[in-house]
Amino acid sequence: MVKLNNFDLVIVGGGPAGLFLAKEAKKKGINVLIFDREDRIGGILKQCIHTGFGLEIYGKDLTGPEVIENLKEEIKNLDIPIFTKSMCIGFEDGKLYFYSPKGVIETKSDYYIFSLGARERNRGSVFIEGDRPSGIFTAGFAQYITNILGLKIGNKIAILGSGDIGLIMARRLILEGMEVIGVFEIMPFYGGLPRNIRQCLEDFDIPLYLSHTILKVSGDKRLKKIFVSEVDQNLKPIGNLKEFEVDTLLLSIGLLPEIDILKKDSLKIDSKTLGPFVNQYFLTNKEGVYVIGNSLTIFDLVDKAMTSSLNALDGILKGKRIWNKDFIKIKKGNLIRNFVPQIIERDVGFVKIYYRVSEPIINKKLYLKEDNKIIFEKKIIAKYPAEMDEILINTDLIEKDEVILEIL
Amino acid sequence: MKEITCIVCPLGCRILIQGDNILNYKCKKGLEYAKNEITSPKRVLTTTVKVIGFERRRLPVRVDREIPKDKLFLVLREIKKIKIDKKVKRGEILIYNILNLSANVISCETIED
Amino acid sequence: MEKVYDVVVGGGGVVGASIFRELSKYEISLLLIEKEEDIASFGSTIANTGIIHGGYDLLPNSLKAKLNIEGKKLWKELVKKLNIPNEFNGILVLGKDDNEEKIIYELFDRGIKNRAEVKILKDKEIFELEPNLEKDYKIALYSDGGIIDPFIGTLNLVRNGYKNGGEVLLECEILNIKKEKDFITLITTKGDIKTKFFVNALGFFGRKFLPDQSIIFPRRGEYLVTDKNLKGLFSHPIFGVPSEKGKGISITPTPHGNLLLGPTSHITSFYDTSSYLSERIEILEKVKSFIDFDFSKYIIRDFAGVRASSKTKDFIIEFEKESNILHVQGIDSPGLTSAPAIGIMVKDLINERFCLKEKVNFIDSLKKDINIKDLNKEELDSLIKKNPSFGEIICRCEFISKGEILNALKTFPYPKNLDGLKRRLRVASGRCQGSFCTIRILKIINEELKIPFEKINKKVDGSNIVYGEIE
Repeated sequence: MVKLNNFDLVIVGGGPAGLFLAKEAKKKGINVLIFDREDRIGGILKQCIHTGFGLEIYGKDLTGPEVIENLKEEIKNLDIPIFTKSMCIGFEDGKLYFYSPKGVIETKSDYYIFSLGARERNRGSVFIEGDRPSGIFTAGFAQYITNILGLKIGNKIAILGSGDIGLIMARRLILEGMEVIGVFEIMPFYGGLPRNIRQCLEDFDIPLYLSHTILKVSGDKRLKKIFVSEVDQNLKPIGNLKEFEVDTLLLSIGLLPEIDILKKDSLKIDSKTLGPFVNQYFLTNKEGVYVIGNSLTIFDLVDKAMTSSLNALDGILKGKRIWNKDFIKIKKGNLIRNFVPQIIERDVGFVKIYYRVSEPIINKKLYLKEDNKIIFEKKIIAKYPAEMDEILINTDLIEKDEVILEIL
Repeated sequence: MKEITCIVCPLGCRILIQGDNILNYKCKKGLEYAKNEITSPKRVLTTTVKVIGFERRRLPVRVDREIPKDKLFLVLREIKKIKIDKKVKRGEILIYNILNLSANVISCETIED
Repeated sequence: MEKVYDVVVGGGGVVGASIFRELSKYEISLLLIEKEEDIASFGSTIANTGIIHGGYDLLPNSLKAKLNIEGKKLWKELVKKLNIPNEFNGILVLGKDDNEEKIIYELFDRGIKNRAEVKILKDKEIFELEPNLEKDYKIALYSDGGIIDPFIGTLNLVRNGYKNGGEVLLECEILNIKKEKDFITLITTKGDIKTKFFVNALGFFGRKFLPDQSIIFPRRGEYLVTDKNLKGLFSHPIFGVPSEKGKGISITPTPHGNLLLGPTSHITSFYDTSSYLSERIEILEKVKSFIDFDFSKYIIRDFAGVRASSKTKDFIIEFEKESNILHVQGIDSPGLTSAPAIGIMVKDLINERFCLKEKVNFIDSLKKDINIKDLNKEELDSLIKKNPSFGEIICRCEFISKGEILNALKTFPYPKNLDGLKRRLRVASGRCQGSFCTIRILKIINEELKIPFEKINKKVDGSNIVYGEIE
């Protein structure tokens, strides 16, 4: 068995966040090892062939693969061992194990970074009545089929959920000659970025049905029909069912941080992000274990997932392996959906908090309050749940154990 | 008054167009975009092309600058004719000045093996 | 085809498979036919909780009671010989009030009469076994019994029968049966098959060959499957007291770590395997009485199936008048439990008419398939060094390697589609429901079996995943 115990930092996940952090860490003299479960590194960006990446980090509007090529170029001469086709199977007796075609690999290190990305919500998360035919897929699956394998996922396609992946795929499928009959969104507002509504739906006259959901499907072998209903403000179906004949239904109903491999280790999970609880270094309650990128919380932009990982590098350079006993807990307040970090150390100067709103906000104010004392406030002109925002707060101003983040 | 969402970068600023006035843009790219949207809308096209003889099956490609929105499918049809059967470097030009639109089609990835 | 088989068993579900395996112990020409492309891919076996029942709820001296008790004993041996995933922890039937207590005692009495291993538990004895139960239960019947993987059980019975010389023919549907003088001709989609004896173990689809079809009526049942994160919530199948509809909705921990909630029981007029919101709600409501827990967030999948019930309320296992057609019909609960015993009973019935000679070289076990979860790290490392495909993990939710997938693709009866692989290996059965592994499995099937992508199906022909290459 290969035993790798001489590295300072083990990075699990060779996607954009993991590669970016590996590069930055090695440049600071930290000996790094990268493991990835696929046959090529790059993570999800390999299949994100559209633009919208790299603006913050490279100052250019790049495609996903181009960002990965940049990162590969940057780590090329840094002498970082990269193990592909290596699946992390979790910790056992304080060591982290991987299965690969080369054998079982054992690693032990003071610091671990998990950058495993996200998984998609599937049919199990929403209940759709009817048969269980072929033709119902998640949007990310369809993206891999189309962009990496170059195969045709269907002829006549409906999309459930107006999150970015669904919008991006709507455009992609039209460009590849398939028919997209519409995007159905249960909420009265869309879930993806406004620019994607414009350039993916409006550009191609793909109808967006807000306040609609798919209740039932039929088809004994391959999907034949979907049955759609309008919903009221309580998201309950109203009115008559509308039938659409399609052979493919793509589900773009949300992403979930992928941290299952750590769940058996009594990792503290945040029910609002569905990712781990972390402090401002993105350190979890498990000794030496940091989580970054979509594994931590679903980011809206890959650049943010990458740059925020520097919080973890900061913690590692400072030798942080466990939480300080004295920390400040951030409570979720009005109109806030979720945020990271969920706990912060006291008197550490300025700390960034990444948050999302729970519904579209127009002309309101964001507050970080300690009881009635305002620690931070910011005017919000317009903010959608799809757009993650960040604020810089001064922890030196906080005296108590708890603060609340809210919008009023 | 018309409100459009700028698509130049993911910020997606909501730019207001009132007659000849363009308001609420945050950078000059946004202003350019808003001006063009009215007169001659442009888009960046990305797609994949077939790869033969390597483990990879597709190569992601893009135009290196925006092209007119109404020429998207024509450009796409030209790009579809490309078949990659030898090594290619990221940024390598696969089609020069496609359909005379002053944009090149370039490779987004390097294929070496 | 001039060959005349001694016995043809119709139906590749657990009952047909058990009969097939039992008969393969004898020197006869034996054929199993199944209308679908795979064993146990469509009928009642595959929409089954998998419980090996205690037998306490059945009418004493009924055929069901006798076969349940025998079958339970036989399964305890078969799971070892045929490597079938199982747990034999026992079963609990719970009661809250005086009425239910009365019923529990009735079941206990019946259990004694039927020779089940039963005992009564009270109050804290119940919660010692199941600490997560709602605390208003005061009495329980504890019975021996357990749970198996019904598909693997059926598959391995067929594999064993095949190993011992039984023939298997898939995608063969019986359209008509002609009784000739000395034999029976089965008119099938794969031609005429002549046989001395025909066993109708076709499940609901065998109803049409009965002299009186009206005796069989279909009932559908829906199940919800939970995430493995709930493993350990319960360690026994738990039931409330039975009603005239049957045993009722249970919470059953599978040998794989999921919880099965269900089944419902509704008379249907056609082979209805759809999922219904009303039945989902029915299940979630019922399980609330066992534990006040919001299962809805943990449901990863649902499925439904149909079982054929007989109006006689018992199994029908008998020769048709003046014929060598043996009907095995109306096999609803405890069908799975009784299956091995049904096999022996059918063998005995045939033996009365046609002397069966035992094979001397019958191999009663199957070689264990490689399962990387059975190996420790050192063992797996050695295996990977010999065969790297066992180190390439394809299903990340259930940790299944490429090597195991390749083995399954090469083992008769071969999986013909993704669902076939799923039933054998549990790929695409986890939390992500296939969004990671399916792509990789498509590639493996395309590379290893040289099947074009557009011909790879989810289930039957016509349920392709993709439509070929994009332009």
